[in-house]
Amino acid sequence: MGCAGVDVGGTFTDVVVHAAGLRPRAVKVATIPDNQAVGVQRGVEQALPEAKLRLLPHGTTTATNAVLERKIARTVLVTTEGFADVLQIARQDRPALYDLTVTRPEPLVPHDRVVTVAERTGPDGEAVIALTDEEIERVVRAVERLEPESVAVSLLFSYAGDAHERRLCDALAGLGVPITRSSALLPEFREFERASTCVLNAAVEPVMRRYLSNLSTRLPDPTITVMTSGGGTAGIEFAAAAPVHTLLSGPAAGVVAAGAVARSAGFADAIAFDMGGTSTDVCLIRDGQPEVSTSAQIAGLPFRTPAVGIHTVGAGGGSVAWVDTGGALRVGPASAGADPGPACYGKGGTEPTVTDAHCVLGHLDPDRELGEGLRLDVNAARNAISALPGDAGGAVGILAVVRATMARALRKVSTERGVDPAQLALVAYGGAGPLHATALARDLGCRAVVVPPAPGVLSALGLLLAPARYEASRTVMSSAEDDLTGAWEALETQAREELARQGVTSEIMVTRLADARYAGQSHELRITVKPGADLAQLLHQAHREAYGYALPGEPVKIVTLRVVACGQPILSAPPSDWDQGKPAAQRSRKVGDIGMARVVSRAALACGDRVSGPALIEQPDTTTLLAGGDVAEVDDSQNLVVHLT
Amino acid sequence: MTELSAVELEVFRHALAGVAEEMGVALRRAAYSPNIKERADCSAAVFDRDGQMVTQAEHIPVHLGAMPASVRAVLDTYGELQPGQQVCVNDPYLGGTHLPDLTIVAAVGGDCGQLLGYVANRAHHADVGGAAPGSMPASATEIAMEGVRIPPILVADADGQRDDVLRLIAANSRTPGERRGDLRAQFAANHVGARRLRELADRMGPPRLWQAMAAVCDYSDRRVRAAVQQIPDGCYRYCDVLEAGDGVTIRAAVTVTGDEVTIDFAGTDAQIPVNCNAVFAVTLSSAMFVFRMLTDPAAPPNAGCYRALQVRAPEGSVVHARFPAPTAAGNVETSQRIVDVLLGAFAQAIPERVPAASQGTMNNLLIGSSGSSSGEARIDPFSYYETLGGGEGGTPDRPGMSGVHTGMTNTQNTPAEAMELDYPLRVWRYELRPSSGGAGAHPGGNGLVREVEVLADCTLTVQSERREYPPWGLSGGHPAAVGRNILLRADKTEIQLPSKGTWQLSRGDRIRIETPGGGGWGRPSPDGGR
Repeated sequence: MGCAGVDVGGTFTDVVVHAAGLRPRAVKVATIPDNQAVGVQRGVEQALPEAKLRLLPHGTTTATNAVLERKIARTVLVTTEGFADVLQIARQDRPALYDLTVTRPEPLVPHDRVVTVAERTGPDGEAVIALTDEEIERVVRAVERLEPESVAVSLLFSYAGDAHERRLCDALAGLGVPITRSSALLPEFREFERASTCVLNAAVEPVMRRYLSNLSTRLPDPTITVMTSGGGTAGIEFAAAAPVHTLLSGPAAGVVAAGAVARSAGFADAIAFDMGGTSTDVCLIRDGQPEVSTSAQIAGLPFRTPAVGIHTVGAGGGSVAWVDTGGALRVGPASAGADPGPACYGKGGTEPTVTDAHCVLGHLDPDRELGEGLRLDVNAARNAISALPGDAGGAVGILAVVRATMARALRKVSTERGVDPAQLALVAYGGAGPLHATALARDLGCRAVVVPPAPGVLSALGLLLAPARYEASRTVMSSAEDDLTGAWEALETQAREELARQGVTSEIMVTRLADARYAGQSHELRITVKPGADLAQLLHQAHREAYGYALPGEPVKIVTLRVVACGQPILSAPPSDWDQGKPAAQRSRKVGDIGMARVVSRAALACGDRVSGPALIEQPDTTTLLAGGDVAEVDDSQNLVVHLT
Repeated sequence: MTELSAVELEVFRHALAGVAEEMGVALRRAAYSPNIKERADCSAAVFDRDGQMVTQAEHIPVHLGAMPASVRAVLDTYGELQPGQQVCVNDPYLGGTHLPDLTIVAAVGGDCGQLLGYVANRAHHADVGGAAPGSMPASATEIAMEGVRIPPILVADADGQRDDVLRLIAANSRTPGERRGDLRAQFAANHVGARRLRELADRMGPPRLWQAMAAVCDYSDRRVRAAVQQIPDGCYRYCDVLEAGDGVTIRAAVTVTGDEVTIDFAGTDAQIPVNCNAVFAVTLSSAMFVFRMLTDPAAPPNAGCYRALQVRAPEGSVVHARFPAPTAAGNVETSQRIVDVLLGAFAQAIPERVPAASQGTMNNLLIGSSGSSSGEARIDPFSYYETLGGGEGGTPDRPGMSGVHTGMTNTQNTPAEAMELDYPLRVWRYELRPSSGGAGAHPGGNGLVREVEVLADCTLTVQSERREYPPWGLSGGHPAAVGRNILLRADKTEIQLPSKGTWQLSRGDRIRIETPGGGGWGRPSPDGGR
């Protein structure tokens, strides 16, 4: 019996298998965009033909793609009279101050598919205008006429009193389509964010349910779980009913693994640095865990669920270099994409990209197989780069500009959050990450760079390292002195029962969190609460840490209570017995920016081995670049670690 | 020293932008008032030794030209500052815009004590005294009624902050504790900026840093001039009206010659004793906003972006007010009209790039009470202030957005669920206002309707515009509907209110603000373009 972490990406479906008595094994198969389940099945069959699967945690872009491509269910929003345009008005701000070409995204539900209800609940949960049976009947008929495939119900103040929403949803259930009730999905205040979350959920529910049912038909044996945006896994029934929790499923698994990798290399705090073809994701890791926030957005549509704090920049290996009207060398946002791809891929690309710069400088093995019998076309890369004006800076210039872009992204998740980079390691993965990591880490003043043993399948690995996780929350709007024991216990019971329902049998860890602020402030701070703790003191302390001062005399408001329940992950640490394949003989190559470099095969390195720069350490999915003076060492967990200070 | 290469330019630009962004983040994180934290009514910038702005992180456009003006006033008052010295200013007549905006400028010293440059940040404080909470009384006839005026004054030197001066500033606010919290945040932001600027100097060496600062300004200048070259030469005039007194006319002539633009407000009406007067820094900000939008919106924000722009405004006019004119609404309302006038002028030069007029107001809505303990219910003092979005004008490429902040502001709304929790108010309606956008090939966006019931006796202040003269259409597009302010008394009588004023409300009364739409762009199709 084994477990397989499966990450479905845009191009490839990655599988990492863990089974007793076997070394970890990774397989990549092509993703089938229209039916991701087919790719998952193929990958699993290739990775573990000899044994049965017990558990299959997986990351999927089904919900994400449905929203991005707007291949969503025909959804109706039901909301309180007077608030029909809650989605359209949003928070009334515009996305760009000066650029007229940037506009707000169209809501997923247009104005004519919003049905309003004559009813009103007040801030204390009391009925201000009663909801009558006749009104319920009228609403149900109005919704039915709109022929919905899914319905979102989000009434004003339903987090404070859900009676109206419940009665309405009970009546709507007769329509036989999925119903998302806001007081069940997100019992928190702020009507726009709640409605937006609710509508996103309703719009992808049928899509996700279809996919998951297809997948469990194809793979009847293992227990399937789905990665959520918050970095934990959830049961298949939860994911089908609340797919809004999976919108960042893919990247979340990667940063969970990056956290575990950092920990295995002895670094509690780190930045995950995932540089791919068109974009780069960075995320702060504290104490081995990715930072989790309460909200995120997709294509400009906000949602409030736990979500790892990933910051994305639109620059990667495929980004195109150009010279602007002011004479500066720029890289991106245009990308050569997968087709034609960088010029050096020899598929007809002519524009100079970051990958071409690496190719020209000799960072990439010119004899490397690209698949389909293709090899790197160094001449094409050279031609593309020489098409830039002579004083533009060439390949070295392109890399310097990319480095500046990346440094700014890394600062956003470190110094801008008050974290000193000197405490941090950079965990580099994605095809291009390890090529840039040491130079970047130096620019920022990081402690070290860590390249995991299998950087190409880190997200799939993350699925084996992620715990089952469920967060129950509720806005309470109390003062710090109020007795909240009952509310805490109710949330804890709800969280434990939900994990039990999802089939979690391991020991469950429960953490209590509260969103608190001073009366009169409008922005909450997250505090971790031990039973019996003085919440006001905790807020003072958190305020001091975050902002440098506290206001002990001010009344404290407890806005929302949260209980996070976590099971145990399949693996407690990344495996350290990867089969790295056959090593190639050590060679050397002249490299444009670092001089004559040793070229070492990662497979040739054993624990404790050291490589001094200038050097290139090659493995099938990436290359690590070491400048003169850099020393990389393979640690006990098979990580390549470059200590910088 | 060799010139900066194409690569160094781009690398330095990122590094410099990071300094201001990090200052802005520190400011918002540490600030006490929601206005700074949530609505981001603040900005941060870095200046060279001569006071030229080299980068800015601004969240609302009205701070564009105001930051450089503040630094200029500080240097004119004190000459060159010594490293460690910090100066505060809010005086609209000496580098400020309106009194609630407090700017703190800090001199940054290098290793050998030499001056590297300046960092500065500006934040809108919730109260700086004056005749009404919020320091924007509708009734002000002179600036003394609007709050405390702070000419450039030293608030820190090498030995640390000068608590005596800070106490004086805080003591002039209705909420001194909150002021101290926000001022502390402003110092923290400058501290972060100074540290980052020193790091850059350590890495590059001060002479190279100064050279690079000049080079990024030159770079922005080149980009902007390249864009100005695309605008046909000529002189383009436009005027529009502000609904104050008997109507105040703002006139502008925009002259494009090669790669330079001159804007002259000659012929604009004189300042008046109501609070719609704009000081020159506000006028400059509005001009810079339009210029940036129509030239190269993505050029690195620094002094170089505006070297190709000259702005002139007659002193004593409503767009270049002199002491003692009150100025609170110059910042929030007149700035919007200046934008319209300039867009109208540029539309004649580049009709294919200019949007029709947007709602042209911020619809300032203020409901408050000093509290009462008599009668049946005790009412705690409260003060609710908000600006409301409206319609954006249709653009040559697309319809205007609906229910959105346009022009010189971009602050977020207060959710109804937050409003009803914090204030004795009930929101009955918050929806788009159908058919309020002007028809057009690209119709203007619709305005909003916000209807609020007061659950206690209180005072209402409204400051709005475009209640008589509608936002105009362009290239054949139709004008939008004007806004309306309606008071619905508890006894069901309906009273149409003027665009600005202060009224007493009784429990059960409702105020309904209907904000203007945006003008349409292009001739509408026969079905009306909606």
